[in-house]
Amino acid sequence: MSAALLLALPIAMFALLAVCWPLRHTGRFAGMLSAAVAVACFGIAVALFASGRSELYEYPWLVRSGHVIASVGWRLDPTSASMLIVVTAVAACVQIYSLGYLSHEPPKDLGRYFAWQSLFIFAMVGLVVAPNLLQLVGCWELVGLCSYLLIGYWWRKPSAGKAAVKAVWVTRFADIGLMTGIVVLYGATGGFAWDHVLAPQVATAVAALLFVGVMGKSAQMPLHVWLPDAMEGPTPVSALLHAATMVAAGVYLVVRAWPIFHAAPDVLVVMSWVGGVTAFTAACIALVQTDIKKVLAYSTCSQLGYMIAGLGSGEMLGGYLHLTTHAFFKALLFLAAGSVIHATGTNDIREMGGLWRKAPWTAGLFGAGTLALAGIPGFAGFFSKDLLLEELFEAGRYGPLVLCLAGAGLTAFYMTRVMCLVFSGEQKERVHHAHESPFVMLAPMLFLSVPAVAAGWFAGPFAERLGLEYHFSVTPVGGIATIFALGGVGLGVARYGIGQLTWLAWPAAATFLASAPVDRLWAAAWRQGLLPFARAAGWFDRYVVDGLINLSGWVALEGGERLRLLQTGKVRDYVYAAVVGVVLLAAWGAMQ
Amino acid sequence: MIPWLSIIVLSPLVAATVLLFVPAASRAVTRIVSLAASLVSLAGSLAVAYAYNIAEGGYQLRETHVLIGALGIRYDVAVDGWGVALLLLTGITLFAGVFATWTLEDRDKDFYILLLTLVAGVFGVFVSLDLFVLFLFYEIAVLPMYLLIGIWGSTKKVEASGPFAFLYRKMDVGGREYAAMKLTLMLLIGSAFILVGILAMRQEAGTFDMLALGNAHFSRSMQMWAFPALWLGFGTLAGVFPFHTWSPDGHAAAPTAVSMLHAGVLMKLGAFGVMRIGMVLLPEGAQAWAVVVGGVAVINIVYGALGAMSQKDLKYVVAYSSVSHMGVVMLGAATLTVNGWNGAIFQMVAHGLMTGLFFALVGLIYNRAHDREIFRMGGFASVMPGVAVFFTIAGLSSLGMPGLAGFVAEFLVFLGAWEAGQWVWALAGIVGAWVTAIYVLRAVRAIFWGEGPPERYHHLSDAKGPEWVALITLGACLIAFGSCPRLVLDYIDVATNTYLPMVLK
Amino acid sequence: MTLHAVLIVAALMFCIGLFGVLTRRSLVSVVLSVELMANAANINLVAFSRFGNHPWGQAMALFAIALTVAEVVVGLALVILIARTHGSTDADVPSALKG
Repeated sequence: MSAALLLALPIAMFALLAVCWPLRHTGRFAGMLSAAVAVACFGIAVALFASGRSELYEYPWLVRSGHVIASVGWRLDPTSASMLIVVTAVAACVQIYSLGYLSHEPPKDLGRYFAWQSLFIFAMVGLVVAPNLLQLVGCWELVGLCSYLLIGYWWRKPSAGKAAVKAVWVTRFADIGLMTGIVVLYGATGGFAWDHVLAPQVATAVAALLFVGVMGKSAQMPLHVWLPDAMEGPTPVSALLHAATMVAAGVYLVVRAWPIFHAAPDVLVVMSWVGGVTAFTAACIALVQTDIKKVLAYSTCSQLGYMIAGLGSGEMLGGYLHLTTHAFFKALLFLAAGSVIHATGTNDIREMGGLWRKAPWTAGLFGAGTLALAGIPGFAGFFSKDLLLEELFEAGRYGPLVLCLAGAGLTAFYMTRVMCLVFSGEQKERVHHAHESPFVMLAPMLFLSVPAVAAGWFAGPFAERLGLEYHFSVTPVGGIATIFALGGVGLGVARYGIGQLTWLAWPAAATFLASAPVDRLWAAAWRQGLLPFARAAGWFDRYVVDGLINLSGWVALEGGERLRLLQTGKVRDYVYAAVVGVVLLAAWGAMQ
Repeated sequence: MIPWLSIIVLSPLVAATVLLFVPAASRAVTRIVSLAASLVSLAGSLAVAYAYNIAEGGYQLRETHVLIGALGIRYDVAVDGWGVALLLLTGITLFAGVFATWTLEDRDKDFYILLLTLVAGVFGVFVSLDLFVLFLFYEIAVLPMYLLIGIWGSTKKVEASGPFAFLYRKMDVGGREYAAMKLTLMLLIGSAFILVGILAMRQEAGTFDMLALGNAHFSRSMQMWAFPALWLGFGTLAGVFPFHTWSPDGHAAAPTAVSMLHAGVLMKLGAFGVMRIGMVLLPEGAQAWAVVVGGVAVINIVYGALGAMSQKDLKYVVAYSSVSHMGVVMLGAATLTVNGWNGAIFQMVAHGLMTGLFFALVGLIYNRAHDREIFRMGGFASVMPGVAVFFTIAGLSSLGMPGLAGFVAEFLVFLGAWEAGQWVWALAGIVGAWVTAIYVLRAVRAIFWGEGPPERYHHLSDAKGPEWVALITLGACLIAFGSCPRLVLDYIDVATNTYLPMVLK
Repeated sequence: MTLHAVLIVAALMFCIGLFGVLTRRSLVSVVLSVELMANAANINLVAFSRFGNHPWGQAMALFAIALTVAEVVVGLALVILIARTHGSTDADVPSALKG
């Protein structure tokens, strides 16, 4: 058994569904096949991780003067093996969940959905096991493609189309940096390996450029604008791509290319600030969202900010650990949110309330996810967040640390807000007809809740596998974070559970945050910058460049019009002309 | 030994001659003859690729016959690595083109005769070693366009505006005769420059033989003016700014298969000429002018992409994207690096397949909807899902999605640009790919996604029988060459390694 | 009689012919004038032959006279054709070449 199977199975599944349309049009059966493949992948990933083996296979993909400049293949090492488990576990859960969540979809569309899900697993596994940065970037674009297709799954909805296209535009904009980065890397080393020793300036340049790409994919301020819109996709897609795995690809890239980033301390400082700002501001925006998925989307931005900030401290473990734990609990939260939406038929948390009596399992699972996300001691999120805050403290990055600590309090607060508004209180209109989700949806959530709750306890062995050390210890920073988290929960319950402390609303700030100011900036840049510029270029080409070409044609035509008059048609005029010509020639000859 | 190259070049000509004697009414025979010719050419191209020995490199499968002894003009054909790649491209595109116009009804016999003649010229240019015969084939490839657009073309209304508004009122700008005239005249003026360059080389070296010319030592002063002449001459066909304006009007006016072959293959003749004749034979001129060539290519990339973004007419979008993508080819050529040149030739193949697929789809949509205005469409994916899929594949290749051919080509060119020490070129190319993503995805969304389609489009149908063949052939090649680039890259690389040292010596 | 005198006669004849071609509107007169010009050339040929002691000039003159006959035949035929189609022998009437 080898990592090749993990690549071969999903792509074969995709090819089968893509080519064999009768199978695809069965919908549900295609979905079951695809889910079976995903589960098999999970099994393989676990087996590979358990075996602890390393593999490296490279096939020469690009040549130059007969020498290989880039290869594709797979590299199985502790980093990729652990990430594989995360990816395949969430993917398998999401696919099984989708069978229930999308059961009312037309079979054709369902088949298409699962084809893309299989393609996504292939691309994501390819990204994780990439032996060099070129394959990583290639698969990075492919997961971006899957994101585009899956956000646009309901392509008849204009908003879904807009969101899908926006996601690609923004992430590809950031990829300008990424592509330039690997081109620079190639220029410096003649290859795409991340473990070359680079000169400090080169390392800084490469790391900075790669980080621009990371900012797009991992939704850092101010390039986060596509992620909330991406919630137009089906909720399982949001769970898999836009919470657990694809958006974390940026963080994974930093982890993979750690030697490069580690050699660029200036970039690390920038990273921790960008991460800190993202963690804090995204959490602020999450406070005022009324769409349950939007809350979680901004929460994802915020948590990705934590990871980036943690990596910016110069230590890898905290950020990477948070990536894995976050993948589990955020996927759980999204699936639970999907279950809520499935039950109530709306995304708006103001129309919900008292749902826990109708859907107790969902409430419990959402609660477990909330506790993990809020960083309550004992749950998965606590350990990873604690570790990365500690790393920030050790590295002396106090600014980002303060932002992250404040964000931790806000996180607890907004998640408690959602919990209270959705599950407690009076039952609203929509909730009366709500029902608990079927087992096919609950089972994957139950499965995910195990690591979401308990993954933190295995941080020690996890770190050991990566060749790093981790010991849990009670520290002042961790203490403050815990107090903030508990305080956030407490305030949240007081404000939204009990209905006290109404002064916490602060309407002016809420309106400002809800109006998506960064989005509007980008929209203005598009509408008043790029689009008119392109129009001007088009006009210039049509009427000036082509105008000059037409002018030359027009000069020829007009000249012909004028010269035409010399042709009188009278024979004697021609003879006169001939005689004059002969005389002139003779005169010229005589003068010679 | 089978003379594969002559078979490839002559089979379209033979088929065109046979078609002359077929009654115009027998549609089936017309198509069978054309299809047979395209199949023979395609099979020949594959056979050449199979027979070509990569380890050995150089020119292979050579055939020589004296045509005019006194002037040293010979029918001398052989194929190198670049030629193999481009023959494959031409064979595939012709094959797909015949299928894409299967449903043509208006004077179809004449259409196929001209089309096959044109293709014979294209094949001839790629394999000729004698510059005079090469030029002859070049003209054969360029001239039928006039009739093909003038007779079967379509018209677009262009409003009068700008500093030259008075001309636009006077000339029928956008009309098919106008487009045909502009295209032919611009390309012929380019040909004049080419002829001057070729004659200058003959004057100094006393031969038309490209192999002998490669060893000749031309004076620096001659190279300094002959290279730009060849660059502008061939470059006009490659859509080099500012002589690209025949391309949007011409490609928009041309009928489906003609756009496919013209944007897909003919534009490559120009780029191929700049590289194989201009750069390899005039190395000093090439080195001196490389910065200019690259700078203009950068303009092509960004300006073409912006132009495509500003268009509302689908054919114009695709045509401007060709201007942008041919800029990538010229950029790769200007880098004078192995990666850049490999990328340039690969981009010719990738862009040929991609734009061929694009124009096939655009023609297919236009034939059904009788409209090309993007923003008047919408929701077409529900009536023509297959077209939507292939349009997306072509679009993804053009914006450089890994796994499709466009990525490999563009990426190699960017690497080459960086190696050449021109970081602005690399960055401009990457930004161009981003702008491509903007206009391609916008077009995909506006045409295929969303509610709808409007009432008047409910009867539209998906691709049918023969059209599927065209779409699947081109789409499959894009995927195959994109995921296994060495299928063609190995051929390209061996030729690049022969020619680049000749330039850099 | 000197060569000079003969050449002057020939030149005068040529100029008279040219004057006729340029000024006469009747096509018949034009053809006659053309004949004058042709014969002026013939005189030159004969004169050079006589004074240059070379028989080729006379041979050429004979050849040219024969050719002129043919030319007159064709020319007059064209005149008749024009007269039939345009109803006149005026040289200014046919103007199909007018731009």
